[in-house]
Amino acid sequence: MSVAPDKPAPASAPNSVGAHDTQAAPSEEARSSPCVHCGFCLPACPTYDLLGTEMDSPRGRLHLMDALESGRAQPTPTLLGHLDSCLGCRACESACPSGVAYGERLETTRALTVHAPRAEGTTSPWLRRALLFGASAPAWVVHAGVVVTAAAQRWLPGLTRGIAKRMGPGAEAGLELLARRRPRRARLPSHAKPDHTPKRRVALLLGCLHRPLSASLHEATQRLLLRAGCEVIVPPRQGCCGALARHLGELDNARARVAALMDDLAAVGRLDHLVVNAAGCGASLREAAALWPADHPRHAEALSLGERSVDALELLDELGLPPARRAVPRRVALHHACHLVHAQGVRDAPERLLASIPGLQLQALADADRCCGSAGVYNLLQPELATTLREQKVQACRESGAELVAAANPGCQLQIEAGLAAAGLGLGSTHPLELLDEAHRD
Amino acid sequence: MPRAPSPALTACLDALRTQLGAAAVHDDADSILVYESDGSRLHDAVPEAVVFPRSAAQVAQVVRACVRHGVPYVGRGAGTGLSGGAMAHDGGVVVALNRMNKVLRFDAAERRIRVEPGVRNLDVTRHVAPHGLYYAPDPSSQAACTIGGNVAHNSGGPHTLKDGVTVNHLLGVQVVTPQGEIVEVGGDERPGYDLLALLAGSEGTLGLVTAAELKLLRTRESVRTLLVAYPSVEHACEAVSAIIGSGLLPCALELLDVEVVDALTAAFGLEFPDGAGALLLIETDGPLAGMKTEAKRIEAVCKEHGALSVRLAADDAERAQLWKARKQAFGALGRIARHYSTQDGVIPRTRLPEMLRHVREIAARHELRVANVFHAGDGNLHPCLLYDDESADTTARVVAAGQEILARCLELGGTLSGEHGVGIEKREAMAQLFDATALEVFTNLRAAFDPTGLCNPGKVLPLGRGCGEVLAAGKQVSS
Amino acid sequence: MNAHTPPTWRPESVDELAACVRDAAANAQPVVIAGRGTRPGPAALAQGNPARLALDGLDGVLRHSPGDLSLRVFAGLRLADLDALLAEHDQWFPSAAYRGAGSLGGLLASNAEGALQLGYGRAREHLLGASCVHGSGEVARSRGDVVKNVAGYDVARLLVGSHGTLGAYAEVALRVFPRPQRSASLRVELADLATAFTVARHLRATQLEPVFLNVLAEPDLVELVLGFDGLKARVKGQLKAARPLLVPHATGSIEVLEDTSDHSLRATLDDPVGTLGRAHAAAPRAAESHALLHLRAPAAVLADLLPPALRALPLPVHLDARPALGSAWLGIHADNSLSLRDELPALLTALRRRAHVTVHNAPLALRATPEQVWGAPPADFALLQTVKQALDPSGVFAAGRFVGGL
Repeated sequence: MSVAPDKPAPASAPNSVGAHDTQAAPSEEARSSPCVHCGFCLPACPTYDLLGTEMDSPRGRLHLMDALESGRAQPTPTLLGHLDSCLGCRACESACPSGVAYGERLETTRALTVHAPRAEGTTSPWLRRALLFGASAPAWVVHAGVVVTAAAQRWLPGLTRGIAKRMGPGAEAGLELLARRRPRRARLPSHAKPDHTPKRRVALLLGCLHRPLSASLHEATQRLLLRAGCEVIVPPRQGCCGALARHLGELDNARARVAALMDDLAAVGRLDHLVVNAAGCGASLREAAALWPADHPRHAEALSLGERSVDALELLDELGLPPARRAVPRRVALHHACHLVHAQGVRDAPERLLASIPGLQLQALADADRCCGSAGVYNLLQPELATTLREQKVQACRESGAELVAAANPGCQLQIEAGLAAAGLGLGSTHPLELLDEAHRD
Repeated sequence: MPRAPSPALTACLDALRTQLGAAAVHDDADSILVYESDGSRLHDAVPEAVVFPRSAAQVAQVVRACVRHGVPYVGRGAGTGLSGGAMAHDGGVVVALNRMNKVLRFDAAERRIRVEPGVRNLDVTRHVAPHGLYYAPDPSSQAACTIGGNVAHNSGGPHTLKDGVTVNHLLGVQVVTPQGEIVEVGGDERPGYDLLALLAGSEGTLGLVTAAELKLLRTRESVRTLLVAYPSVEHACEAVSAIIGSGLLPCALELLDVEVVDALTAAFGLEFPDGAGALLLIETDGPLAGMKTEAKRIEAVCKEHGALSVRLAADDAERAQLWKARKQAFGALGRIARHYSTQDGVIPRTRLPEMLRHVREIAARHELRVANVFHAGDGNLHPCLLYDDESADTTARVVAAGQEILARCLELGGTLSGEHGVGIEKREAMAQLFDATALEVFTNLRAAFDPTGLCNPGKVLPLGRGCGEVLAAGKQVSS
Repeated sequence: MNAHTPPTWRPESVDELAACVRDAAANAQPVVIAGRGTRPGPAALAQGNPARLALDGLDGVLRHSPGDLSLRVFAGLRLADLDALLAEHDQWFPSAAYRGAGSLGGLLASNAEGALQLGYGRAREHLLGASCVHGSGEVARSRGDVVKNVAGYDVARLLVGSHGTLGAYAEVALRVFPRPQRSASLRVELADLATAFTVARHLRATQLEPVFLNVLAEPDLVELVLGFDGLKARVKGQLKAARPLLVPHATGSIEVLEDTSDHSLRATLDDPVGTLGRAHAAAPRAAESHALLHLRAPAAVLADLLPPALRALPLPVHLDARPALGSAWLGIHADNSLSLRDELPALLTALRRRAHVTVHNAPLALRATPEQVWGAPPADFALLQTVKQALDPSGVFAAGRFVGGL
């Protein structure tokens, strides 16, 4: 089993009494299986909450993975169903006092069992293939694909629905989400410098599917980074971060994606950071080194990539922004994206940044760090559970009294937006960066 | 390899599928596998099926079906127990009550709440906190463990020093008896026997709790939390006796030794004074009037007994952080060892220094590391024996050291368990704690409640076998 | 054996106690445990002609560890002796502090509601263990007198409030406490009963932590009393904080009681059976013209139920209500037994609709059967029978005097 480096510890006060983001390294032997069965993960797990079965809890899944490893259990469709039902939200890691690297265990096991047969009625292989294709194709192909699909969904809904039906309910859910965005090419200068000496030299990651769907977010991110004093490069050649393939258990594919990305980045010279504005991509990049054994030449390179990858919010929080230019008088609820709060340990930065916006009222959101059901491609693979989680999130948003829900991950944003629309609520969804940008734009 | 299901079990499960729905009955290999263990790993046993009732009526159906077909059954909450109490050592059915997790009734004015057994301990307090109330028993696993399990084990926790364990906070329960009847068991207000005292801590051997009525306390006006460092556990223990003896009654008095401190440092980045061999976490609460005086007196007593430093938690956030570290201490041991096994003996408080020396000596003799984190104010020890492999030799050493520690607790005038329960782990040692007549009284009570002997068989009462055989029996079922 | 003079047995050791019970079981001789005979508990008329088992011979201390704040004593120990022993070490057992002549075993078996239950809990809460003699006449012994113990079934607590129907305590282990630095109480006169319950409810909602809070009423007088224990600063602060809450409702001055006056108030409250009984001691033929009832119901129910019920009753009533405990004691006096026999049944019916009522005393015709004394058997009566069957299968103890004829 490959072993990942620990999450890079963010700079925080050394004498603080252990905020969760200063998670220390588990001992070498603890890493392999330090689950002591205390059960503290159970209340944190959304699927255990919904299903109430130990098999669908982190402790139970670790037990099953141990049993698979030791040969006590076989990769039956039932067993794999329990592993597949995991969101990978990693809330259990935040709750775990023993520091079990659950996400990594799950990824490894998923990779080993990716081609084992699943129970009938679960994800169609066609959907997996379509997603993987999206992750591996050149940017223009993805762009074209997304544009065509989105257009077809808008103008020929009968046709797309017909195709999606054959691909399973997940595809229908995906199309529904896609229809909420007008894909376009982001207008981004490939190299922008601040007026004064840059504090950092950074590259902006645009992502694969995310690239045409989040054009305005990318533009906002670049403006904010500039305002915070960064020299911002948008490498023209850049592909997928590999997260999508990792979610699907296709590690070879993921390795190829990350290797290509590292090569593309190498072409733009020295970089302090690779800035990411999608928490899912950021989490995967931070743990990129886990894809290769420690003695592999790519390992060190990936380790360095992981150390330099940073969420835009975390970086802006660290560098600080000049005073805002205008008030944004909105009532906003902040949803903590799992891949930011649990996988990267970034909890306070988004809240602090939003709180710094004049006029903005942060509304308390119940269970703000509970998964919304998006979870990478989970909403496509497990639409039923994902929809229930979405409804819970929508309910919490409704009760928060907010008019706008901010989420630092485009996936969550889409998921929540779709949920709010389905519930007929007049609430919008946005990315915290877009709110910040609104306050800081010329 | 799984055994072929008996015709009786098949008939029982068929009946339950009809009554509860197929989705509530699991007997596939993967489902039953994960129900082989609870919060401890020394007593694994794979059940033959797991069922998920949704109501007291369904629990009664489960019990009646099991009785009709002669299938043993055992209740389970969140599976955080530490004595193997929810394990199906004789095979049979695990009755998972965690899906029965509704708050049934809450009366803020009368300070009482009625909940289903699957409601988590901490969720009770969360539910009532907006009304300035809380539920006092706070086992370390309170974020995960359920009220049903708390009642079965008469759970304690750090704050039971002042407020008492679960039985002191029970106003009534609804149980499904081993005869399959749903009975409302009254509390102190109705004339009759104190059945709540009998049921609390009976470890699910006299029935399954399907609802519990709990007493709530008013959130106290002020709280002071102190973290006091001592050069050694002996110093810390002496301070504990001095504080209690002086008439001060802190609501919690917890001791952490240096090994636990190391694990917590790794897990939470806590910083402790150099040279500290033990820490006391002391909390006192009450009306604001006189609070300052009380905290000062505690501090003075601490210093008289050689405290290296006394730190007062500055605010609620720091206080919460200290308690989080304390309550996750067991889990954090995963940072310094792959496994641990904890004991739960209680001794008279004045014997603590002596007992801790014995613990260290016993662990050393068995070549095991030991970490101590416990309710010092109650004299309730939790020595955690740390080990990294599950070989037969290691397991045997862990078991032997645990038994020796318990034997020593009894010699010092103590008992086997303060809050984790007897379960399967300590049942043979019961004969050292109770004489034959007392055990016979227990047996008679149990037989009167459960004439068929199918309700959580093999727990609590000794069978007259050695612990090695008990373990072997457990492993046999699980292999 | 003469039917009019049942034998009294007075064992002087635990073994003798066990032997008595064995003999009784062998001869099918029912037994009533009498403790030190100071406060006969509520009971229906006995079946058969039970022997009296006096436990005052079972006296003395087995072990006292002041440092551990625990002790083990024989169950017949006089409560005053227990208090005196503890006082030497500046310790106390709150349930025994004001009671004097009774025995510890009796205190437990009757689940007596002392003055300070609100502050310190019942004696049950501080019972660490016990050796008991059940119906078999064998002594069941346990070790481990420590403050937390979940090993085995809690039979010691099961016997609390069993009124001697499951067995006799032989030895009892208790957790004791350092004596509080200071005690004091407040007494205030109020306009009427409804006001008193309202004020009590308000006090309970504050951060005050009284060790007792009672509504006392007798014809033409309604009072509220509350007391505090603890560090001097704590008691002082709470007396000060309580005063402004009482002032708006007081019809007279607010009296602060300390030392002997505080002590005698507590002693009065500690023994409602004696206190409310004494209020009518002067009356002729007290037993037939006096009733003593104990109600258990939530505070809101008591506040709702009692004022109209007492107004409707054409007889003088003395009341000691402890709303925070969900408890109220009613002493009713009639000039002649006839009017009590006329009025009481209707009152009991009304009260029993919403509260559990135990009849401690009443004209004999109204307290002969278990149902008259204890009310209808509770919902869990089948389980009570199960317990009785397990611990006293031959029915040696108490002879049908307890709830449902147990």
